[in-house]
Amino acid sequence: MTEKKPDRNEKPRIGVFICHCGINIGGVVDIPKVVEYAKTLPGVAYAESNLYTCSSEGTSKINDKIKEHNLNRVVVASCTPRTHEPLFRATCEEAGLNKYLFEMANIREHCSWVHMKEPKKATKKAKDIVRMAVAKARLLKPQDETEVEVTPATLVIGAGISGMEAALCLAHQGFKVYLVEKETEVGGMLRKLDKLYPTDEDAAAFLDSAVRAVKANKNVDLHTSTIIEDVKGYIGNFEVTALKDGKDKIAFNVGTIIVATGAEEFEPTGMYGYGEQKSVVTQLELEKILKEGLPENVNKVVMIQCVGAMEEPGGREYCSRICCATALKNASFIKELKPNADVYVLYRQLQAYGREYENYYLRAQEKNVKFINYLPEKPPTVKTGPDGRLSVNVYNTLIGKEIPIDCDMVVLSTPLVQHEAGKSLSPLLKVPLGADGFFLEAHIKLRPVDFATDGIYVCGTAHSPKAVDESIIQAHAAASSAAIPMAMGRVSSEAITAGVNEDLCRGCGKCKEVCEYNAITLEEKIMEVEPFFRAPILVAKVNDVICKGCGSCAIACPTGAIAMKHFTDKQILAEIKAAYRS
Amino acid sequence: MRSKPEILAFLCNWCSYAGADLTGTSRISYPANVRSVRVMCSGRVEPSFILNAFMNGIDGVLVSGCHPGDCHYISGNLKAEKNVKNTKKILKLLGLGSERLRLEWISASEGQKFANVITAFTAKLERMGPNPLKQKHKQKEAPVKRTPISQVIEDTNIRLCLECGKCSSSCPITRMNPDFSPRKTVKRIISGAEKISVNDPGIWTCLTCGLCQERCPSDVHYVDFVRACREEAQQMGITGTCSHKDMLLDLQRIMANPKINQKRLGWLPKDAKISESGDLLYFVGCLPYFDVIFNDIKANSIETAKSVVRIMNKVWIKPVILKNERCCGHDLNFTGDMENFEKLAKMNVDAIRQTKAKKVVTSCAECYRTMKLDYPKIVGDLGFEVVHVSEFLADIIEKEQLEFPGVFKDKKLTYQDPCRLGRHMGVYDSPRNVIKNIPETDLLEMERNRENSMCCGVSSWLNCGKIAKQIQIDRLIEAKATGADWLITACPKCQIHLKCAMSGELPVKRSKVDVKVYDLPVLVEKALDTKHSRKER
Repeated sequence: MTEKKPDRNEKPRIGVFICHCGINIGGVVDIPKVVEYAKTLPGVAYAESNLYTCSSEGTSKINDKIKEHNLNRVVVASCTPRTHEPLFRATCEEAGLNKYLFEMANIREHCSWVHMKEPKKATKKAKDIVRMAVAKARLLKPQDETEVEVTPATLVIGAGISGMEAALCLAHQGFKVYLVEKETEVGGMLRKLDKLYPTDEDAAAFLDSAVRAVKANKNVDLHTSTIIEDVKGYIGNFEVTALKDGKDKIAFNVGTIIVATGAEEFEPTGMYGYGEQKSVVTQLELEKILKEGLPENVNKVVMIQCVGAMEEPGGREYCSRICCATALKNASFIKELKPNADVYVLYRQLQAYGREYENYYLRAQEKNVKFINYLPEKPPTVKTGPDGRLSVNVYNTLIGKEIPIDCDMVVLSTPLVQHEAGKSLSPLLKVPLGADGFFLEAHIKLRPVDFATDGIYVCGTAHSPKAVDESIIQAHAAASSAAIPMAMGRVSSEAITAGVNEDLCRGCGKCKEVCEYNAITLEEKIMEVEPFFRAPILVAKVNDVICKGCGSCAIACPTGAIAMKHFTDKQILAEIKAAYRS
Repeated sequence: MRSKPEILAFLCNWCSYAGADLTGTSRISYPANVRSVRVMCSGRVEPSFILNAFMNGIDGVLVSGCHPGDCHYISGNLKAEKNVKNTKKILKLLGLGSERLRLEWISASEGQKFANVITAFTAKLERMGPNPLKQKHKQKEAPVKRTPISQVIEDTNIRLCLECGKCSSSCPITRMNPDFSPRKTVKRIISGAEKISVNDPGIWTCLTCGLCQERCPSDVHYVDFVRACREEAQQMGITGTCSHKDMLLDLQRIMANPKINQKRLGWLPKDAKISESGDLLYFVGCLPYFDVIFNDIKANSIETAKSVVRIMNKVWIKPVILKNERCCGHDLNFTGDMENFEKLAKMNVDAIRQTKAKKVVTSCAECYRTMKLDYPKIVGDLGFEVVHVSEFLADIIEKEQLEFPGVFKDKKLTYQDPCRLGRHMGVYDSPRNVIKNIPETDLLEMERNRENSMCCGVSSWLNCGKIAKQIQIDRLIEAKATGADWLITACPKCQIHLKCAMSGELPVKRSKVDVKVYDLPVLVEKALDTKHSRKER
């Protein structure tokens, strides 16, 4: 039913519906007494009780009473709003009432269920809770939700395997995708790999099929040698400018953005002789060498895990997830090339999780790769002998002794780290980096591929170190999330947002500073009073679509210019005042 | 049987409210003396909400949000932590006890924790005793003496208005808001629309700076008239909009409760010498509270108090400082809350009289006007002299009790005449004499000085906003344009409002307005103290 035009100055006529909830509430709280009490509260035009207010009988009763008694506010005293607030809001809407003119009083989870042995106190508390809800309801105002259109196009930044998979996933759904890559070739990290664990398949062949699919897809616009310069706008309407080949400017108008910029291998300069000895290499460098085959003079290899990872607080504290599997892969490969070679893997905690990697580990052991556990407090040392041969000393925790290993090559397993290009994107997109330097998602469980800023998503190693299969899964997740607003075509903002009273606004920017979502901007305006006065001023402006309604700006504002709709200062103060006394 | 302590809990929607729901779903019992207010984020809980809860007699306030790192709005809970920390400082100053405010992180899965917290908090509050602000029953207050508006109109010479318009053309507000006009308001009253005046929003917009009445050829006392209208409006339930969520006025109302026993001497430097009784009393004012509330704009209000005490000690004076000094009530007086203003006046005067002090020195222009001019209207003859710190300093300088070792070199200063010190009370020379006696400084007057000085933009925390900011920016540009290095104030309010205008973003180039602001006693201490001044050359 269409909402009747709300008269914002009308006197509140509140209807209070108190629920027995079977015996859940009615068995403890004296419901008839609460109903009688509700009738005495100022602004209450009607009060009744129901057995189950959320039933179809209960909601239709609300609908009837709204019309019969010309109610313009509704309070339901029952369970927690986290269960049925949407249901009762919809009931109000059906009766022609704006859905924000509704308030709930929680007299079940917060009252009858926790004071089951004290019915008198529970009844008093229920009366107080109802009085609080009525106090707020008196001050409720109708709210509107605004909608914006969403451009059905995505910008994917980074054309590694994650970026390409995300692009394809969206392209197959019919969306336009602009795939942007800073290098001259696509493929990212995959171009530097030789084999992929745990299947040991050929990296180049795997990559090639993905690249061909991307180039063949009509919905994907690929731009190589292109870097992002500026990003403006918000979900549904991003305006991005980029620089191609160092000279041509391109602009993209997209509805969503996916960050798939990947990561780079940490270079352990100065650690274990890296940079000084040619025979001390990283795993990626080893993969390059192994493409041609193991050099003749290399018969003994020692791999050291956790180099520059799992450090003390202040360093890189994280485990990079992929280095153990990489070591297993390369160690097994060396044994395949030269069965008589000696390969040692010096590890702290071998991350060989799940079914596949545990098997991978067993197979490496079967190939006679030797595993030695070391302690972080007693790391191995690498020395060079007078003949140029390397000598590794490691404290073997199993036998409790330090053992020397002469070898021809030392391979350092280092973590993935964020690279400069990724870091510079953070302020452009206004998305955060976590403590480890990687991009930080909105919520680890509730929103794992979203950024707090609406319309921007992340996948692959840009988010955290992970294997190729995990990157692909996350890429699909990011694409799915990005598809949601684009498929709907419109994005509506919650009505519970901030609003600015321009007369009270000093343009100090404190609200803008505290807003995590960049929903507030300071607009330059001219304050003009004919005929003599004219001055430039700054006025805060809230983007309703981005604002999440947390209320941080309301506290930061010294004058009260910014107010939180539906949770205004006056409404909350009314609840506080009504908490224990009328 | 003693009733249980009353707890008010602010629970964030995503974690703590859900946690409390789980307590219910799990049928875990806890004491029935808690009422919950749902907010979307714990970061929404204003210090003013917490103060209001205590003003309403609640014994303990719990603020609960998501665990750090889990906030649904990323960092709202960390903001809550900071807000609670500041509010605790205020509760400590008020003597209510910072432990009446508790911050917890309760996730949606911690139903048992919620019950445990309520039980533990209840026990703690039982040990602390009830909130001293709790009113057992509505006390019958003696009605406040009030002059009817019709008499005020006569007393303030409203009917002598010539409609020359000097007032409106001088008014800093009218310049930016033509709807506001002292002349129009007066005209409305003369034409018989008395009732309209108290409903007039213009009653609250006035800065009460007195520039209009300074220039009025008919000696209309517009400031007194506006103040009386506000008193009348309050009776009708009409109030103005105060900044900082009314917190400053709430603090004054709390201090008006006789049961409040503050702990407010923590700011005293360790080597400061004060006494319990004596000839000279230093009335500190609300500086310890400003120190907490305006920390973010670096107003440094409490430095004034420290400087005053150090200077007094230097001339061998051990000032009396009241342990339970209450706000002078200036803002309550000027927003029309006479009931609480009178309470403050009586309590302060009683306390001062008990110390047998003959002279009261205050470093705030508003305290000065209020105690010297407004208190006698309530308590009669004070029995002691009230002196502004600029007069005290000018006096000891004249008596050659202060020796300035010549710390500054060619320091250019300018001076902001506070409305309450200048136009209201006629003190223009003392501060200037103080400054002129500091060697190697130049006092460069602003174009609008003395009787023509411009108000710092906000009075009694009313109507801070677009226009106030513009007035402040104009004044700061004027100060900077004199070429001065430092702007000297003689009122903590001027200092706060002008510093606030410089904090945050600006619609003009920062170089046009940024000038260092120092309060007069702080300037004098710098001029005396070789240790500090070396940095400032």
